[in-house]
Amino acid sequence: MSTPASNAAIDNDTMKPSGNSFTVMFIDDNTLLIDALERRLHLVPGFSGMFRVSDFTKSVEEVVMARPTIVLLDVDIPGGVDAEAILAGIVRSAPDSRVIMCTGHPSSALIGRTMAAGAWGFISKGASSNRLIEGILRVVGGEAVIELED
Amino acid sequence: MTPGPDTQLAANANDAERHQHHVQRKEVLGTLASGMAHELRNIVMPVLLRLDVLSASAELPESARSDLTSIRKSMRHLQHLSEGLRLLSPDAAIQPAERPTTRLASWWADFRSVVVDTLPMHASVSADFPETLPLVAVPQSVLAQAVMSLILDALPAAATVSHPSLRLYVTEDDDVLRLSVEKNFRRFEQTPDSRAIGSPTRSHRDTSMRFGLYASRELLNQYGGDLIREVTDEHVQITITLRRVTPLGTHPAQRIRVLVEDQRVLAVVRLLMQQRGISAVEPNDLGPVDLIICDAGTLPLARHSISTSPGVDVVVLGSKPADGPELSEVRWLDVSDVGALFAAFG
Repeated sequence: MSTPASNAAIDNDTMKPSGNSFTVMFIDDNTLLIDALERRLHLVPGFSGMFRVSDFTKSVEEVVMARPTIVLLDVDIPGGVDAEAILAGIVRSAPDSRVIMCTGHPSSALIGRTMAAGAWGFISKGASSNRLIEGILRVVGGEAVIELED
Repeated sequence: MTPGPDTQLAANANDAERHQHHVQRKEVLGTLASGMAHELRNIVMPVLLRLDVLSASAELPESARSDLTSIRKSMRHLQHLSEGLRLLSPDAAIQPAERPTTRLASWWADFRSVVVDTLPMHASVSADFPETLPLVAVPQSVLAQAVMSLILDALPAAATVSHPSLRLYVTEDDDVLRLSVEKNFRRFEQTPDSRAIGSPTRSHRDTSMRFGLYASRELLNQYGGDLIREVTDEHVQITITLRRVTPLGTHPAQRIRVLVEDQRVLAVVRLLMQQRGISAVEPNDLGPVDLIICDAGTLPLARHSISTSPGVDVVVLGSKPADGPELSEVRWLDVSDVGALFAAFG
C-alpha cells in the first residue's frame, strides 16, 4: 500500500481524516485513472491524500490499516479477485470507510446487490469527471449516490 | 421445371446456414464493439480528469482554454460513443447489464453516433425523443439491438437509395409507448411478418441467434413489448411497442413517510426518492400518508402513521417482525432489503 501525499492531514493517533478532510483509496488496476483522479482531487478543499493498493488479494487488510474515508472499488479487478467479497470484507472490518463501487459496466443487478451489501454509492466510468468528483464529495457528506452515464 | 422436394430442402438449409452465419458475424462484431467501449472508457476518464486540472490553472491563456474546451467536447463525444458501442454486446441483451428501464432521450444521446456511423455517409438520421417521455420497461441494450438489427438487415438496400433516410419518433398510448422506425430503404427477408399487436410470436428460429429480428422480437416480448412491421409504397415502418414503467413511488403526489435508523440505508432511500422527484413528508407532519418506509427498529414509531392512514402501503426493510401490527387495511410490501427496494422503485 502506498501512503497519501505528504500534505495529507491525517490524525496520527487515529489515522482518521482530521476536521473536514477526507482520504480516498482507489482499488483499481488502471493507474492512469488513479493518477489523474489524485491530481484532480488535489483541487478539492479537504482532500488529504490518495491510498493505493499494491496487492489486490489483501485489499481488505489495507483498508483496515489505512482507514480511508472513501474506498473507490472497481468491479473488474484482475487476477480473479472478487470485488463483492472485498466490499463485504470492508463493511465487516472497516465500517467507517464508505465504499463507492466503480465500473465501466454498470448493472442494475450489481447496483441493487452491492447497495444491499453495504456500498454507499455506484459510479460509472462513463459518467462525466464532474459527476465522479461530486459523487465522491456527496458520499463524504453522508449522501448515497448512483451516477451512471450522462 | 419446378424444383423437387430435395432441391427445396437443400435451398432452405442453405438459407438457414447463411442466416446463422450472418447472425454469428453480428455477434462477433457486438462483442468487439463492447470490448472497445470498455477500453475507451478507461482512457477517456483519465483524460477528462487531467483536463479539469489544466482548466483550473489561472495562468492559462484564453486560446489554450478554448482548445481545452474543444478537447473536452471531443472526449465527451467519445464517452457517448463508448456507451453506444457497449449496448451492442450480445451478452447485454440476453442478461441485460443495466437497469431494466430506459429513458429514450438519454438512450438516443448515447446510441445516435453508432447509428449514424453504421449508415452511409449521405444518409439522413432524425429522431424526436422529448425529455418528458416516461420511462419504458426495457433495458437499453435490448432496445439498441432491436433497432440495430432493423438497420443492419436493410443496410445493403440503403446503398441503392439516393437519399437514404431513417426517422425515429414516439407516440404515447395509455400504457405503452410506440417507437416508430421509419426508413425509405428495405430488405426484409428475415423480418417477422406483419401481425396484430399482442398476437403470439411464431418464431421457429433458434433463440440463441441474439441479433436477429426474431430474437429481437422475443427479447422485447420478455419485457412486455413487441415489434411490428408495416409496409407502404413509400416506406417501411417498424413499430416497437414498449411498456411504460409504473414503479413504486412514481407519483409526486404520493405522501411518503421515511422512518429509517441506519444512516447509510436512510441515504439510499433518500437517493431513490430524489431520483424520482419525490420527497418525504416532514417529521412534524402527522397527516395521513400513502407509503411508509421503515425498518424493524422504527416499526413502533410507524404504528401511529399506520393507524391514521387507511390503505397505507408499508415497506419494512428487513423482515416483518412476528409481533408486527396486524391491521387489515395495511398492505405489507415484500421488500426485505435495500436491493429489493431498488427493484420495487424500478
